[in-house]
Amino acid sequence: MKAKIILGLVVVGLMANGSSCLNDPFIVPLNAPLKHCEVSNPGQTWGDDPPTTVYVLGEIPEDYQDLVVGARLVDIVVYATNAAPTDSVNGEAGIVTAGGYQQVVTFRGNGNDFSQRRSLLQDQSPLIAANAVGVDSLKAVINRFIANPENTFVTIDSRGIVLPTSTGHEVCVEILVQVDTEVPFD
Amino acid sequence: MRTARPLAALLCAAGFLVLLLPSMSTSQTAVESALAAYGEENVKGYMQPFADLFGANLNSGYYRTAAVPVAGLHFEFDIIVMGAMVGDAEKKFNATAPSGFTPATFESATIFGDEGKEVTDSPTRLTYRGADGVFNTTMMPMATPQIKVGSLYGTEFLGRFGYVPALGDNFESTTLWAIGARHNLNQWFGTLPLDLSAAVYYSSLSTGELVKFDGLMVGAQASKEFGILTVYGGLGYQSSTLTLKYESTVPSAPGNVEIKLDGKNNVAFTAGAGLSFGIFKIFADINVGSVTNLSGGIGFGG
Repeated sequence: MKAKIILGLVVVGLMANGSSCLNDPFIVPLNAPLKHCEVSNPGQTWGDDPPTTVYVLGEIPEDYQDLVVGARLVDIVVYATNAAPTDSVNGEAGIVTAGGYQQVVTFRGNGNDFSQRRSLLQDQSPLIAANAVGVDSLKAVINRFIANPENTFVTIDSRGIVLPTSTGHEVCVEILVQVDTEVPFD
Repeated sequence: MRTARPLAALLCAAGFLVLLLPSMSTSQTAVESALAAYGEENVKGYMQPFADLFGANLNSGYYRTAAVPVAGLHFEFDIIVMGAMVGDAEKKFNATAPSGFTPATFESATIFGDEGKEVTDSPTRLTYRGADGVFNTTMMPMATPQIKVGSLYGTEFLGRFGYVPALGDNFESTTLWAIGARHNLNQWFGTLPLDLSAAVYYSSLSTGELVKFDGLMVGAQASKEFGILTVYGGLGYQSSTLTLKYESTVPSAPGNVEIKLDGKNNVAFTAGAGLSFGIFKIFADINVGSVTNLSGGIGFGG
């Protein structure tokens, strides 16, 4: 009996002093990269591939899709694969909205420059430059996602001048979005 | 509004009632997602206080006297509760913003903190947010049963075992075990005014595949009985390592990640006292080192 009383006191004491003990709910920010790639081969014009429409909610794990409470644009990344070092990688990427195509970033360099991921944050000039109006449009789409995550899509397109000398030259654009999810423990 | 809801409170209390508080497992799925979305440096900062405090808990509560019988069968059963204090320093860390952000670092919540903070890149006005803390507590608790059996040439053996089964999707199973041995030193030095012993203990705790703790403690202990009162203490060298395994979702570095975090507690001094009422014992002690924690409990036998 004494043991039960003491154990009970320990439990009550620990609960009373704050050990009761989870932040409920708590916010888990998840990464949602929205990606669009276009391939071009020698003799082909780059930018002919259709735009990519991304269902933003589909970029986070299914268990969290009902828990979205926020989102933000973190960065935009451009990179090339299968590009010869001297291949031209000059172009732009943007989103397609009801008002049509809106340029978000422009990029300028060669295959060597874009053989690694180039970020709007790290490599603003001269490799990547933001179009302020386009970035605001993208942020507006992300805000719509917060309000209505189930019905928000982002359509990404890119175009430009690429003069590939190697087969399968691919230029990819990733819009990095962070999605806040509110996880309950009960 | 951040609240600890009744069910969460009940879960923590329930952890004690099954003798092992599965603080990590109660939130593992969500914690794993938070870690997966963080860069490796931020995972280290976010989890380091957990490695420090839980590691100290893991290495405490092993003894309530230094007396070890030289021969004959004896058996002890204890229920040990440990708690490491969570201070302000354990609640926030200097998080790394995504590469290229200005500022490059920002203060955000650790796993013991409150809300994660947001940082804004000055030139672009792009933003990034840290994860919230999980535990709203002033003490990192743990509890475990342990048994001691002896004596063989003045040596007794210790075992701890705790298991919490998986409960739904958010509650992965947690297993704790420890083994150790303690040797009576008085038999080698003749009559001494104190009981003296030397001990070594190894412990392990794992929660699902995400978390694994390993702890090692080597120490010398002394105690003195005054009627029903026993005063005890010791000096120990300890180490603990938290291993985290998860799959990163960071776009620039996806894939499997394994991180090892060493607890900061190495040398710890223990001082405590216990009362003996026949086979029933009650005891408490403080462990002072790089981390200060308390342990105590009730015991039978010995």
